[in-house]
Amino acid sequence: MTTLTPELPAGDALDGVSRTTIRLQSDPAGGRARIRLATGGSPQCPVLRPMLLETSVDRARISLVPEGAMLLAGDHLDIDIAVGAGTHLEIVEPAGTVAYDMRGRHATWDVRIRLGDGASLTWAGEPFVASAGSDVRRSTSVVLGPDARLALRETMVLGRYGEWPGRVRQSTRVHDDAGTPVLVEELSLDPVSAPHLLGRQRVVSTILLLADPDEVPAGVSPESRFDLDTGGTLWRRLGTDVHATLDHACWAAVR
Amino acid sequence: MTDAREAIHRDLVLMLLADARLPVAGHTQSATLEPALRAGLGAGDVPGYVTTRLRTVTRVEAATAVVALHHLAAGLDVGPVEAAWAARTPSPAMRATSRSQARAFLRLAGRLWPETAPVLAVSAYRAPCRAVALAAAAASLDLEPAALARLVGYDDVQTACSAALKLLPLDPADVTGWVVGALPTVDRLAGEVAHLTRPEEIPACGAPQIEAWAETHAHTTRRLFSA
Repeated sequence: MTTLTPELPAGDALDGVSRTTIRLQSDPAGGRARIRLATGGSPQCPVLRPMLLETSVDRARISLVPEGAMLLAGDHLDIDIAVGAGTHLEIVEPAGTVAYDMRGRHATWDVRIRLGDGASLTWAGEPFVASAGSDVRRSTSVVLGPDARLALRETMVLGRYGEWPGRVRQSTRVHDDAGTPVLVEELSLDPVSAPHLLGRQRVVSTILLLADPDEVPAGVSPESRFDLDTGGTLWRRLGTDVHATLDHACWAAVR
Repeated sequence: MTDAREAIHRDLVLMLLADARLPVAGHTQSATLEPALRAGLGAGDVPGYVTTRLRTVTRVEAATAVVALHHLAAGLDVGPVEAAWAARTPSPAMRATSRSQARAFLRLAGRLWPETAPVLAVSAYRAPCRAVALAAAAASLDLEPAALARLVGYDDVQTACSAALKLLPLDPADVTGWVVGALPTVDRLAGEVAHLTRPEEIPACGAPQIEAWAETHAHTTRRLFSA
């Protein structure tokens, strides 16, 4: 396993974006998979630094560690992940993220994921809390290769306890590598829309599993289960507090 | 009734398609209002519920119909339009409801306008959604995209409001007032989606609570409306 953590060239520093790049690729010579981890970009922006926790022949486990206060107005994080054919990546986060009052400005959080033939990604996202006054544009785009597997956990919390919701515009786009859409969703949640879109709830906890149909556990959390048209399943629970809304049994079954 | 385009005024076509007396089982639908009321929504919440649908699931449906109409009028395959709708409709209950309504609608359209290319093209699909089925009729009858989008929006408002009348003790004139109150939002929605032509342009506005209610309702045996 080769590990590099270089800073990206200084040219990228000018666009105000903090970039995190994760590349996992099998070794053509049949040795250990190669991983490349890089961060770079604007010095004003906090960084999500990928820390290698564990590796084996065809897999790696990484923790995405925040450096600097986040998430504040003007922050723009760009996370680009490519998992090469036949390799397996697991991402964990040491803690949740809080987006603070942005006083009329906004922050951006973009994630791009490409999964090669037979590759897999398991990402145990921790709660993302949109405090009152925050305004975050989150996008997640995924391209799935043939026989790729994705298990993605996300928890959105609108407002800290007893607080008004912040504003989150979340866009999720998953396609296969032929361009066929699997899941396309935009949620625009703010203090006005949230009560209508989420009822009286403030926590949206989702687990997305895109995998071979045989791998989707049958009896797990049927009450919150949405089987997608092209295969794969989304489990989504709405709740008023994080602990009661997270579906640990479901995540344990799909991760 | 074979030449669909022969001298039927578009206003009459629109009235026909929007009429609840059309034998397509519209009376079995509540636009997911029934589980919403069971979950605690009250009469006063219905106008807000209708508006939320117009901004989310109904917006997706109206845009899908408009893009399907463009594809059918241009002789293009509607498969990618159907796929775009399905990817934007995570709830299997909502997809099943839409497809069963489409089946009923296409059965009728196949009787009324059997020789038109759009109806034949869409009927050849395994299980098209309701938006695509409506687009087939619209394409056969030369309806404009904006008129089709207004039809989808109006039908959803009427479906929810007329269901409210059966589920709650309400004055029908009040409920008609809610419908009238929603019309500017329907018109705005139509104006916003009428120009769309490509499947990837279809908005994807999710409504997690409505989707959850739709699933709950599909699994309950105690219900008045099928969806």
